[in-house]
Amino acid sequence: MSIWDWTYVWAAFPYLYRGALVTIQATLIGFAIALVLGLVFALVRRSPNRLVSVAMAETVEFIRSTPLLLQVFFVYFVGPQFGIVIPAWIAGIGVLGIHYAAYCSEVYRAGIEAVEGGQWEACIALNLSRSRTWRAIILPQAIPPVVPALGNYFIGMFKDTPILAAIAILEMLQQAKNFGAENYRYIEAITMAGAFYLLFSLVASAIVQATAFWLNRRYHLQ
Amino acid sequence: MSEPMVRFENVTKRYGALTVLDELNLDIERNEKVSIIGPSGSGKTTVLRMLMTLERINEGVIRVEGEPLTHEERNGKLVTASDRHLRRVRGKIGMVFQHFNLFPHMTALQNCMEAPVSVLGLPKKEAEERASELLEMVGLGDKMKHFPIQLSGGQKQRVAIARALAMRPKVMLFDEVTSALDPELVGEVLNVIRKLGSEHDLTMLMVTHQMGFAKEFSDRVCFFYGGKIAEQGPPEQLFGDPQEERTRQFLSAVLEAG
Amino acid sequence: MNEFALGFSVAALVRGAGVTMVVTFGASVVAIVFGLAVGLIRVSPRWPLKWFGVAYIEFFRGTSLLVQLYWWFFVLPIFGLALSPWTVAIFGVGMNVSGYGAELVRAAIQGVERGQYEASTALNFPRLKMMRRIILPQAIRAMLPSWGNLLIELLKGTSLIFFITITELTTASKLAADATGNYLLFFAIALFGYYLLARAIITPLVRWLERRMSRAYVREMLA
Repeated sequence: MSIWDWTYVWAAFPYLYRGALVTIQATLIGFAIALVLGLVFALVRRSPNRLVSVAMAETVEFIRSTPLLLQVFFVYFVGPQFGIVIPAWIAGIGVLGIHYAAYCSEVYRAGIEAVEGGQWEACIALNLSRSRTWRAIILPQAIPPVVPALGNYFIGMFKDTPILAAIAILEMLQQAKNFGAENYRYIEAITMAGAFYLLFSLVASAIVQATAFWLNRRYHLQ
Repeated sequence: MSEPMVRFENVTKRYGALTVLDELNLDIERNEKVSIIGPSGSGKTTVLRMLMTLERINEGVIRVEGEPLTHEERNGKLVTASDRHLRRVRGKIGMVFQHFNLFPHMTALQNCMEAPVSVLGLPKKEAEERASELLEMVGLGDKMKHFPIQLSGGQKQRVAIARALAMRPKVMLFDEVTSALDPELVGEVLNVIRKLGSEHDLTMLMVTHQMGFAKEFSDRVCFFYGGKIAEQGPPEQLFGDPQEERTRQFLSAVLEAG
Repeated sequence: MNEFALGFSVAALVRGAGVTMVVTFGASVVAIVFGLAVGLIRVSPRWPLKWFGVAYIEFFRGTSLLVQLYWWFFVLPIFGLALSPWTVAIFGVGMNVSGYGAELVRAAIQGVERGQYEASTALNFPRLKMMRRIILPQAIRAMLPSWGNLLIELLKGTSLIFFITITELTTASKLAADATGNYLLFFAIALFGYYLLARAIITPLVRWLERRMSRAYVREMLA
């Protein structure tokens, strides 16, 4: 029995392919949630009401310092205890989104704080409304510079999707593991899964760099 | 028409224990050009920033055309102004900043169109006409599609002036608008202000270090010292025959420095 | 829920928290040692070393932590290298984090002002001595806050050994919750347990180190 057997590589492909689809779907939807919710968190955090802003900050801190796996368990299992059944898919992607929203909100916050104070003053002097100030002036300057940091979390989320296996979502790594268990051969399938994560990370980080470059040029920052 | 354009009534501004402005009383008449000079820390910039509502005032009232700015009369009592009131009164005032504060992600033209469209509700086409007229006036007809990063300091400041004018303010505030410029670019900005003063009905209030310009341009010069107006009067008198010792000291120090 | 099951579960939870702490500590040591070593290799002027550093960092950061754990756990035995779950947990998590740590080390070293390198060269420091005496002390101070965040990520990462049969805090809470049916209680306790470990132990520890290092710095400056 050789260490690496190509027949197993081909045999594992359909499994990995099915799993990869789930993984990519979960990442895309989860990250869309994280991007939007993260911005909401960041804006709530700037609330003039001190109580609201402190509560938001603490919540973000809490989400960031506890494991994603445990958060997934919490949402998926606690609901049914009170008669609320949340499908695994929704619980998994939802928690993924919320978890990374906490990280993204910190990134947005840094971006917003980096916008010069003079920009706010110019908006007051021109009598722009609060919402117009945010939409037209502040966010277009705050977001492009932080795209690389957001992109890193996108990649991070992709690599965290295997956690969903814990609530029986058949993402790529679980498929690889199942294939391994059925055939008593782990090496090919798990190595392939690892290679795919690595490939995705490298490609995605190149795309992120390009997007950041394009955005900064588009908005004439730097 | 005896109502002054802007009136400061016993206005006091404090940062913690530090009193920056101490019971300021100042009237500025319609179309009057007033220069504010004084050493740094004398509170002169604060006057403009309070009028633009960038700083809260601690005591007193600021009136614009008789109407309180940060307060509102309700049942005969003055209460803190609502956002709506604030925005209406603030619409009469425009400001040009030391560091331009142009929107870096918008062209010169877009910088001048943003507020007229989103605040005044002007149709895009009309706003564009108004903006290009103003940019022509400040001598930047050929730079409308340029982004701030592609403009020199003097050009940026002229865009900023056009941007403020696009809102058709009655009062224009100039906060050390030439201080961040290279010396050779100061002239082009002052020329635009000069032109504004002679061709438009505008009340102008400027904080400046350009004594020559203040002398030639203003109707009145106020010398601030320690949060108070130490001396004020027509430029010929204040520069030619200052009454206060502090004014004399300040002027001789400034003139010596060149 | 009967008393016995509850008491038993609480005891299991406490043991789980202990396991999490041990693994976190062990993995942190691995992450710091390997991270520092690889980070230094990464900034080496010799290209084979440098490229080894790049490959190491990209490998451990690019493949998922769980993939790496499975690799250690399921694949290595094929090569006749059957590691105990404890070894897998400590080295698996630790080496994964060391990839990120090495990147922090690299960024911090390259972030030290150019003038410091130039001054050391002007004073004719040999390269290693320059690193040890001049560059590293400044770099370490600069990267400590990031290490604080990274160690919290490490703590969270230890929850993944749930998948490889060690009963740490997450696993213990899941078992206790399954046994008693009270998911809310046990998961909430576990969540707060992690929060406490992160904010009451790791963060203050790193802050303390930061303070100590800047004090040493001030002392050196005054001396």
